[in-house]
Amino acid sequence: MSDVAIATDNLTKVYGRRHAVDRLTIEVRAGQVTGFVGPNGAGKTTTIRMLLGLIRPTSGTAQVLDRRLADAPSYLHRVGSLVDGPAFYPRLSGRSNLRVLARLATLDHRVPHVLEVVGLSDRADDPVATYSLGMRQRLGLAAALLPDPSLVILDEPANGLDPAGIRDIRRLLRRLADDGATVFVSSHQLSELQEVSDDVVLLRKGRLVYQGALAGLIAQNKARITVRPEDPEHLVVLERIARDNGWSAVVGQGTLVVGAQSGASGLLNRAAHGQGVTLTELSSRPPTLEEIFFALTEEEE
Amino acid sequence: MTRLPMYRRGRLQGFAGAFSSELIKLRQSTYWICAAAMAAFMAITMVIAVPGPEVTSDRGPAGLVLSSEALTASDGLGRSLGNSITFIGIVTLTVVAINVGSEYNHGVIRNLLVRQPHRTRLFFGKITALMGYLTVAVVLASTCGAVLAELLAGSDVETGAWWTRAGLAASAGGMGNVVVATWGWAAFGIALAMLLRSAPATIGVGVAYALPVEILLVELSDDLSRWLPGQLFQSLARGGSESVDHTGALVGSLGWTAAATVLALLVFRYRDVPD
Repeated sequence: MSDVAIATDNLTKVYGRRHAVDRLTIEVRAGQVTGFVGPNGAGKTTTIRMLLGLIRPTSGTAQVLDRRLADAPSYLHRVGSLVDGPAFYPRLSGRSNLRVLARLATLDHRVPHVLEVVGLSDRADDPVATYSLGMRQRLGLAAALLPDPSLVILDEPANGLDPAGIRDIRRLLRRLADDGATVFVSSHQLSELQEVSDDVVLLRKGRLVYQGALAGLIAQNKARITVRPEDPEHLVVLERIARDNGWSAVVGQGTLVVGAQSGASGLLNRAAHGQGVTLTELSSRPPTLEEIFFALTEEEE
Repeated sequence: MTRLPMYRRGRLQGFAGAFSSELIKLRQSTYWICAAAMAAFMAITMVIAVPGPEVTSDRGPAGLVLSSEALTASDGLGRSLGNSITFIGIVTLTVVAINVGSEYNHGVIRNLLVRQPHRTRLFFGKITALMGYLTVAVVLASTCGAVLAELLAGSDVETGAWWTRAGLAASAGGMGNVVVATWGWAAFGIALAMLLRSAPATIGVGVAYALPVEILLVELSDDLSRWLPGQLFQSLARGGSESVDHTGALVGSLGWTAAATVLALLVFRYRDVPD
């Protein structure tokens, strides 16, 4: 198998005059967790549907697991997916719902295992109508795991889950990648993706904004330095120091948040001391994926 | 023994998987209720069709009542069974609308297409299971109807001819006619559901077409009853009508069934699933 699980080349989907996905060219590395990020309407779900053979691209091509997108049946037996939330027959039990899918691909023997993996064995024989949203989401994940997939494509898998459920999902995705599967996961909860992703693909209005390693993206972007002067009157002085150094600065409740390269905090501290300003707080952290995303999309605008 | 080539085995396996998968869905209470509804409508038809010796009309409500002479003939039971087709047709339309339309409403179709991306195999597996279910449901409803008809007849209506060899053959033929007409309604409903992708819309449009629209069209031109699907299914179930004989109704019904099935397949095979 090649190092790339998904490669799209100018993939485009047009509805009427609207470009849902516009000349998207991305590569998703095999065996990694890749976060697929974008606001509502960015084209994430449309892209995922094209990769799953549910809709045909208007133009462009793609390779999934080294097979052509146009020949989706040749790779879908190795793909697990959860698209647009969990969808099941409400009157059937969780187990029967999985068997409906399993029988299509002679995977009946996998049903008990995937129920156990997502922690639903105890409720497997209850009708899905009695499940909470979180339980349905788990059942959706179980369905995605049925084929013991080489590639898992998940659209908002943490929706409706409580914090413990989200943590379990995160662990599951990590474990899948550690076992050699490729995980391509979209979410609007950027903090969740940041926790688990190796790479990210950022999308906005159907177009690619960024793709690459998450660590590299974070390193390229400015750290967030929070400073709190002993005397709030000195915020003005600190803001001027930041501006003089070409850093961004936002005044908050008695604090100033400075966007600067890591290592700037020492310089800021010395400059403040030189101006007679005493700091009661000085902390630095890397930017969050959310902050990077908004910075990048604002640049685009 | 000759082994099938790999691609043929794949097709058969895909079809068998889709068929077997559909059988699990058919265990839902909805399908038991619909089968019971068919039996109930068949019973109502029999209550109307076997009224007693004083009725001599062969019209009656919705044309359901045979004359005493016609009712006691060997094909009297078979013809009476066929009178249920309007009700059976509406139940059939509802069943397939729920089956196909709700898969789009709930979004389940996405999961099915990812697990079985060969859409033609999925389609034929589903259709075969659905038609099989409808056949069993109609046969059971007809059997219930036949038993009830005998009970209703009591000593007032002479039913000896129904149970002769010719009578049993005529009843089996009548049941067969209802089964084929039901397949026609099912194919019509499946095509509508594939186009509309919604159970309520399919039921609404299907029933509106089958009842007021076709009836109005026939009022405008009697000749149309030889060509319209609902009229042909009805004529077939009743063993023929004034405007079209049994063979014509059978050929016309099978033609509409095939056309609707091909239309449904083409829509299912080539249309995107964006929602």
